Amino acid sequence: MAIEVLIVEDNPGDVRLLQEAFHNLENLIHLHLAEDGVAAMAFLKREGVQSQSPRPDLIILDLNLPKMNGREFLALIKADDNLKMVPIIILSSSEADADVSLSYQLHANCFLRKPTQWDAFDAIVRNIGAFWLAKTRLPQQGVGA
Amino acid sequence: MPKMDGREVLAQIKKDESLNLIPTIILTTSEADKDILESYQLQANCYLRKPVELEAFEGLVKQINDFWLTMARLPPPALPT
Repeated sequence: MAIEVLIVEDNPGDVRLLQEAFHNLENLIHLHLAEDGVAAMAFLKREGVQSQSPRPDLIILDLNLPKMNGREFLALIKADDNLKMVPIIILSSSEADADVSLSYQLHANCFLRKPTQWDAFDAIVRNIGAFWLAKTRLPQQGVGA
Repeated sequence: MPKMDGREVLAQIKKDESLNLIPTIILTTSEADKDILESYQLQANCYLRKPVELEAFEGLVKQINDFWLTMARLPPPALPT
């Protein structure tokens, strides 16, 4: 069964890089996109046009987003008993220690720095694939519901 | 684990504001879906099944090193208080 991955990213260039980098994993995953925290919440809550959206198995989240930024989104998800078990990987260009610390305090599962060069970007995504999608046990949907 | 099991340790770490930013990886032989779910609900950062074969165990430790200690950003060391 395919792994449902939600990418929350507003920068079209980074979205394109992620799509390209995840292309090699397309047999393993279904990739979904949300351009800001509000759209991502609608996806998770299955609101409006997102009423048929699947529950993601993994979320990849940028921090600096319009409407609702990544920190607010992260805090909301990790305070929600129905959603907090979904692993969230922060993928951010921020190098600030404060952003790393705050993300872990808000229960981000992992913090990765978003590279600017394609090779490094591709390597990050390959590592997410090898570690989070192949090795890590993710929570099964419906268990405990 | 004896005395205090891993779930209790995890819950205590993640409730403690001075400790909750420390990434905590569950490494266990349990494959039970309920253990996986409970661990993530308690804010474990990641859940890995502990292999029984040495070679697989060494491979997993290498992957933890390659991902968590090489690629991931870990929280900076706490400043002295």
